[in-house]
Amino acid sequence: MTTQQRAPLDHSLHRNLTVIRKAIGTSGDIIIREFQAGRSGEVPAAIIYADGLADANAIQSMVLRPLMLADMPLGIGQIPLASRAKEHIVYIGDVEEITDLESLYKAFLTGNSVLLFEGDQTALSLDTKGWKERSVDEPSTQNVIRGPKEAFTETLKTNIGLLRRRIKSTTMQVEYKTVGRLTQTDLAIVYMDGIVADEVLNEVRHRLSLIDIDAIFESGNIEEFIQEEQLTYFPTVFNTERPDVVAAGLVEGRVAIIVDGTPFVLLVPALFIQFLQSPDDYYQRADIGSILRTLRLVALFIAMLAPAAFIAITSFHQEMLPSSLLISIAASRSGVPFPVFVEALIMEITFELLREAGLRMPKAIGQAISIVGALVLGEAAVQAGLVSPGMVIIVSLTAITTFVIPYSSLAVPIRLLRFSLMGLAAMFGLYGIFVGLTYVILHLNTLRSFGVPYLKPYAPFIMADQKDGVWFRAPIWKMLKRPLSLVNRNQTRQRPPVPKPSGKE
Amino acid sequence: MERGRISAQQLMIMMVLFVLGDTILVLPGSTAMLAGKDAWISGLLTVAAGLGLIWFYAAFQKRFPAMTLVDVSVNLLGRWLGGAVSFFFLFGYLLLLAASMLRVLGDFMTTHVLPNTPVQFIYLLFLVISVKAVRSGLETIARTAEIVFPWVVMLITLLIMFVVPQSRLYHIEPVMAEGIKPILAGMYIFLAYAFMEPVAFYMVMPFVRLRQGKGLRKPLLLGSGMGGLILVVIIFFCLTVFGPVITRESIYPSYLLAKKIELGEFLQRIEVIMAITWLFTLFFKLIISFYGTCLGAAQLFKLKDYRLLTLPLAMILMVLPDLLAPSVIGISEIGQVYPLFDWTFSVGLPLCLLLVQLVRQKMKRSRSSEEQGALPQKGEPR
Amino acid sequence: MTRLACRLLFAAAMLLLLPGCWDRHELNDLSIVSTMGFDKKGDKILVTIQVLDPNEVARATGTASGSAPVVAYEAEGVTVDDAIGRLSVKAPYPLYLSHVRMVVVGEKLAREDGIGKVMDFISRDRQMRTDFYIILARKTTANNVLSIFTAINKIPGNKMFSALETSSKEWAPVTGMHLVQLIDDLVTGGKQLVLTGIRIDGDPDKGATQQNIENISDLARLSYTSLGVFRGDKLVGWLNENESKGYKYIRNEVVRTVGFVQCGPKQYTSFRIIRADTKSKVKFVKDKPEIHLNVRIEADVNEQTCGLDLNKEESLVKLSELASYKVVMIVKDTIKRGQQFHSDIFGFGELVERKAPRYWKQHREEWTDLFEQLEPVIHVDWNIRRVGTKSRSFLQEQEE
Repeated sequence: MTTQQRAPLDHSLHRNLTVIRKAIGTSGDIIIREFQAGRSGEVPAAIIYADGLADANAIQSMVLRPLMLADMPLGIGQIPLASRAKEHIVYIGDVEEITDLESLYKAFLTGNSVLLFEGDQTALSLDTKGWKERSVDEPSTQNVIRGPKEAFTETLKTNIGLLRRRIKSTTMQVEYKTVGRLTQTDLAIVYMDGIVADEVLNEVRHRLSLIDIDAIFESGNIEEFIQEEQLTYFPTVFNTERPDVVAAGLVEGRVAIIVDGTPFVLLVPALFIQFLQSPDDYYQRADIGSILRTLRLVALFIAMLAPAAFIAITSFHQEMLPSSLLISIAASRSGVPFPVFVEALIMEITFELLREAGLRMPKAIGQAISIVGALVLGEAAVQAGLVSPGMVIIVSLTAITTFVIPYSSLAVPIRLLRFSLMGLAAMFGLYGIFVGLTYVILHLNTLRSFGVPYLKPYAPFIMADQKDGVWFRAPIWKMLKRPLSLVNRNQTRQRPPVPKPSGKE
Repeated sequence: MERGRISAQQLMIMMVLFVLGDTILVLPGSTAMLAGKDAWISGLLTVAAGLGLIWFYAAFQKRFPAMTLVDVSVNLLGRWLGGAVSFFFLFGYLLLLAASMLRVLGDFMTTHVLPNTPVQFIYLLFLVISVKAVRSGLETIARTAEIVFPWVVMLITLLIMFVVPQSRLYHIEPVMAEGIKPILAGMYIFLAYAFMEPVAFYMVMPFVRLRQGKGLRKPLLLGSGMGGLILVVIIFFCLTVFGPVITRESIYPSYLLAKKIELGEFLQRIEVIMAITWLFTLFFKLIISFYGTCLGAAQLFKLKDYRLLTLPLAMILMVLPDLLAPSVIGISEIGQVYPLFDWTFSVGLPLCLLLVQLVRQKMKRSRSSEEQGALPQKGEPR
Repeated sequence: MTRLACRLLFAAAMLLLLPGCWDRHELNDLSIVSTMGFDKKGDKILVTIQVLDPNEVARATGTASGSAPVVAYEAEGVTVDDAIGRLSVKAPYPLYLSHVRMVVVGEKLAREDGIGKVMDFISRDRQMRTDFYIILARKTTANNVLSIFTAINKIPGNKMFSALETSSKEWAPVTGMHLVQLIDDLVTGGKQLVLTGIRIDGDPDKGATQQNIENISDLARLSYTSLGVFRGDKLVGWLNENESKGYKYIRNEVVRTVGFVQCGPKQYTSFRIIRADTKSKVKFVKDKPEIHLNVRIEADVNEQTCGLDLNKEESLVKLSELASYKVVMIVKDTIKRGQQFHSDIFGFGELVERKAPRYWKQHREEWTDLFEQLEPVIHVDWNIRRVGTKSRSFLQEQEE
């Protein structure tokens, strides 16, 4: 869209307003207020704004009032009234001159107010945005025990502000873009100049520029457009609602994409290990962080494998069980009419249903449902001999471990894989699980996120990056370099010597 | 053809896994069959000799940088003769190697883990992941090796840790009671299985991205040395835990060894988990030779993309293992002569090619650049 | 899109495999075998198995429900596998052999046909593991042994297993034999096999009823006796208790045991042996092998009614001498016994082979004769470490 194609404004206020009224149609929320500017009301003028987006108070006191009280000695059409108003009269900080209808529409539709004067082809777009917005709140999904309690909100500017508060450096660059033909959604590409890898940045710009769609409502829409491999369960774009995570990502050389209207910010390139690293790992002591990471890795495997392994062992490899355990499992299963695979499937599906129901349930009823679901249903199913108690334990174990994975975008593929692996285990026992897992590893290795192999720094193996890996975190003062997996320049994070108490050399 | 590049470190890891391959499962038995109590000595000597062999592979590759064995033979012997030689190498050796991996897997699984499952389904499942791996390209294979490697090492370490207390040195006494002959016999088979089959790496080595001034020799030697030593350790513990008789008589002594793992009541009977070790090593030996076959065939037939060949060749691989031999016994009979086959292709072929090149260079220097003189030279033992 | 369709089609095709599940067995559809017994019956082999009833076993409180925790089935066949095949007609589900704890071989089978056939089956079978014990039914059949009810541990197989495991550590005359060791002994020429025997004390018929465990003192009870000696795979005789002990001393298998010496009429001192270590060596004298056994024993005095003052060094020396002499005698008797059976159960042949492989090669065939001529040199070093909590017996005080 170049300026030539845009319809210019007319000299006549009346004609302009007619065109605009026609375009607005019946929308009652667009307010067009005509008034006479100047102390004695010499100049006919109009202000257009959207009710609910623009701040009526600000318009009244910062725009209308000064305009109406101002001296307008010179006649219509003789001096550019708009630029005079911009320079001398209006009390608004961000003012822009516009000359075409398109930008005029966009201005008042995004919450600005537009000022038009009789006899001037230039209109003013005044930043009077002032809609009701949610205040900065605690994160709702990605909680930590220790660490900042702030989360992003739906407003782009607030979100960028949250980042600026954390990174007070001019090297943090923000590039604005608009996507969505109808929604005109603003988004910002944020990165650290001098750290980010140029290939990644250019790739982000390139992929975003290819998006041509009518509507973008959430960063999830963008994510689907820019991820590399579509046919995968695994997320290759990271999303978070925590400004500290984004800031840390930026400093490591990642690129953030903030989309207006959602608190979830995208971060690329996203590596597999990132989804297993919780921000608390960095805020707590390194050893505790490391133990938690190891625990999380164990949880990942349990969440993925427990039912499959149970099926494989009890129906294929009974010799693996110690005799006494074998006997008690066999005894608990006597009378259960289904094969263990079907039993597991019933339980897992029931659990997924409960979980989904709990999510949609009004909060007050949610608790009741979980009690009914977990206790009553489970107990009754065991009593009725539909499932064995052992299976109930296994399913609850997978349920618990699923929630240990800090980012739900990884928990989802793990849940899906669980079912495939259960099927394979029911057909081929542990051999099936082996084949399934190998397939998953192969698949993960074909993935890349913005050119970076997904399993970095494990494959390809990078020794230096093991300091911040999937089961281990070195103390902060040991991490002298930024992750090699992401950047290949400006790697120095800190310079030795490491801080020590004075007097101890 | 193959746009991916792998690092020297990845090459090394793939080499370890390849050397372990099926050998970790069957070699202790077949070496003990020939060398008896002294199989471990035989193993140690083999590693020394094998490193020499690997050194030769690296030297050969250095002479023909960025060329696969197919490229080299077509270049040196011309389109037709070189093509024929490559054809034999690919379909008469590499593909058979891949098929025999499947066969070992099938025999093992149907003997110990899934006795009633039709072996075709076991092949099918393994081929699904193999085709996926080969189609994903060399980089993916190498990266997968890097993920798998620590697990393999960990499991083998566990295995060895748990059987150390049960090993009794008197099983291998007296040392060298039978003289040197059985030891040499053991070497013959060990050398072929562990250090000649890596000839498949001729199809991989050209795609290694080397740092300035670094050669292929170090990663190859390190990898095969490590793999070889692991094999020797496994043989040693098979012998000292079971004695030579049981080691010799069982088809899969390492699996027997894994059965010996016992730590109190809770950590025992985990041999099926241990079996994952050789499933992985078998898998890598299979996909590297399978990849080599596909890539080489694509080069030979001037195809744009080797991926086209993966499915048809996989279908061949589906039936080939059963055609190799009628029964487990047949396999072990073939095992007696198979080393000769290895000798032909892994030592014979490169040596002949090297000879041809030397002769041609000499002829060029003497300006009598008539190629006909060189051609009859390389009587290829097929 | 086609790619996706292909993948879906492939996944669907894989689902078709699902009903296959060739090797899938639900746990509750298995007959878990806990003990196997082999007997000779006419020309055939009688196989007896005990199958666990998980429900009965898992009833943790042990409230009797009337049915036994294990059920025995028996069938005869020409070969072991034949008999086992026939068993499947009687057992409710496919037999599952991976959890076998004990294998009992009847004396008659071991004596007349040898155990080779049975062991070949066991070592070849995929399901059989190697961690069970193999024992002999002494003066009875395996079938009888497998029909005795046991108290406390209701699974007879587990009871026999744990009893053998503890007693082979605490009580010298019995030894637990696993499959790997057994096969090794069967195939190597330099060491013959021994197996522990089990016998039924009491009335086997009464022992086969639930009544057996309803009394505080069982009507019939299983107990381990001494060792049976094999030549090749055939049983040739039994060692008595002392000789069994001697065998374990020679083989350096004693972990702990109890022994006593007599120091007067009705006066005994008993020892708890806490450590025993035997070093056996071969020396060649005039081209003939000579076996040297050095036994080092550490023992505590457990009980003494000899009227000795254990504060005095010389009384300890005296006890040590008596004890050493006794061990020497036991060991000598044991070896003589082995020679009478023409069976080198002590592994002297192996020793010779390790020391002088060449000599062994030449004399391998005539080893049995050479073995019988051996006169091992035995040296016992008996150390008394502690004397319990008392230095003198209060019995002495009474007398004084």
